[in-house]
Amino acid sequence: MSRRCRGGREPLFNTNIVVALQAEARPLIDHFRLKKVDDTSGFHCYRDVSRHLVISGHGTIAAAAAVGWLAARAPPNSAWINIGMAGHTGLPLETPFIAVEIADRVTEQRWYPPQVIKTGLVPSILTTVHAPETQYAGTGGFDMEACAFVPCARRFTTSELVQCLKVVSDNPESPVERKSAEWVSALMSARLAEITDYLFAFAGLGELLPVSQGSIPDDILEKWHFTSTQRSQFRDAWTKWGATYGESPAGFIRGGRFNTSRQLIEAMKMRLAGTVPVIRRPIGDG
Amino acid sequence: MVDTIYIEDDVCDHPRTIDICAHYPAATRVRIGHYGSVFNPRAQNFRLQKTNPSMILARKRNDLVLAVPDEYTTGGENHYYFSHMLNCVYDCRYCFLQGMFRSAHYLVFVNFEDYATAIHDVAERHAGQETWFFSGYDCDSLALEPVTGFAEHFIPEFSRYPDAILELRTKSTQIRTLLKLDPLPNVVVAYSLNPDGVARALEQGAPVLERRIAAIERLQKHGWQIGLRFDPLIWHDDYQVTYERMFESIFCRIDADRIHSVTLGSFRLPNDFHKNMLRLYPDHWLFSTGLSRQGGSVSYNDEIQQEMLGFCSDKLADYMPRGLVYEYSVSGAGGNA
Repeated sequence: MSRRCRGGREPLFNTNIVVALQAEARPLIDHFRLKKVDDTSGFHCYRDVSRHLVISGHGTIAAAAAVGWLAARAPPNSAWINIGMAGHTGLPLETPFIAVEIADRVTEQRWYPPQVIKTGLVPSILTTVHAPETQYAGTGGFDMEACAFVPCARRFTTSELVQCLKVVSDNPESPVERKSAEWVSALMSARLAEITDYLFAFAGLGELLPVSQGSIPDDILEKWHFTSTQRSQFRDAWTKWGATYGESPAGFIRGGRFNTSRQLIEAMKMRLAGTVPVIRRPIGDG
Repeated sequence: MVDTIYIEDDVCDHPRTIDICAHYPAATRVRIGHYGSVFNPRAQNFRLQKTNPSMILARKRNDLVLAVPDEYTTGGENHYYFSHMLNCVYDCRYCFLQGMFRSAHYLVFVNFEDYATAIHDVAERHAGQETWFFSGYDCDSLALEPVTGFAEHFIPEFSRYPDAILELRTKSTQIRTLLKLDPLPNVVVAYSLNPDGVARALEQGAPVLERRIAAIERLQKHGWQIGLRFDPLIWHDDYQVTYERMFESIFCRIDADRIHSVTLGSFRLPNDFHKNMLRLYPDHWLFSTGLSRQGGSVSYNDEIQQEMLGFCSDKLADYMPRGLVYEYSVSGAGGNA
């Protein structure tokens, strides 16, 4: 897995990171130099240009609330990831793992986050429990948020972009006990390289989502006034124009003589209808 | 390569599950109750999953053999299809699967024996009548042959039903199994073909035209019945040149007199599938011009459809009788050219 994606640049697709504890989040906040968001009514939140990190607090209710809270503030197309500590029945301490199956111990409901990213992380089942797991019954990891985080986050994006990444904090050989904030931050810091690698790849995956229209210049949007139906038709024609001609219709629009928005849209449609497609191979296809 | 395999509890000990898993020793294996919990949920993105699909091994429980809609038949009296797999290893931009399924994972039903029983029942019911069984509607029939052994299992079955015809629809060059088997007169290997430029632009991961022709040549020499499927025809600026050139390159190497059948089909999709595909690829030229709604389908405008079908049909007539060529379009489907 590469730290950089497509062309070596850092992906700009927004990632929403939900972390239960401040101590778990601290290494990420420091590493990415995230700035605290002023609006902290409800949750503490940190951000940079392509990441939002919210401190949810422990438990499923807190996680669900944090997802809803952040969804209202972050860009609509975002990737979502729950990062934190977890107990595990079989993995050594400090092992980072990605959840391939998430189970709710109470309802026995299950979710299977699609594993699209090629990752070096260990795959594991993750069961959400409502109190710290001291018996290490069953197999896989144990946390207290995932089974709420996943279905809530899936309401805002596609399931490939909702993942849970955990670092093993306790296991049968080293059972759960109260840990200091310093210990928790040190645990997460120890696996920061793997976590940040995954975050880069994760945001890169988000960038594969189609952008339904290229950015329409302000002068065009200001000059032409559309009804909501026309706006949809205009955006559709704008996108098809780009797909057909490989360039934006801005020049056509600025240089044309159209009296109304309707005339403009009809002119674009007519031009498109009269055009025979020229085969273009996908970018990057050898 | 498959990184994750989901396995239904019901088939975890099935010999075919064990064989298939052995092809992917490094894959993560996840046990599931029913394939629907992975394949069917909402909020999945086919385009993202297609970058690295997982595999699901499951049991097909109902509707193992289904009747073919009338508009997709190819001569004969009765027409059925069956799908041992949903989704395809190739990524063809025009393919309806990306509009039909929410997931791009390869869903393989390992209970081939139950399919064989269902085929037997249908074949017996229609004994004495020509009955077609199509494979390859929902996947490529041969592309995963080394992993699933699909053709190896089903072709010998058809030696028992002389009135039944099996069509294996494919773009694949995985023909080793077929070259090992004795050809059966009632098995047709039907190749989907498009001009080289179209294939390179729209059929990602599929063998290039030259390699498909080479595979056809070998299969024909071995004695297998060959079908040619020019479906969907893709409208583009120099289509007359590219399709004519493709026909030349095929028929200078393939014996046209021994071709079982040819189909020509215009690019067409059910409305809902088109809508889903446009959502996945709003910026693709394939969907940007020339298409219109006709009833429940989206297809090229009538004028384009008729022009392309007519042109290709005329060109094919240089190589074979028109009676062997079937045309499919949105308005009128399934007739001889």
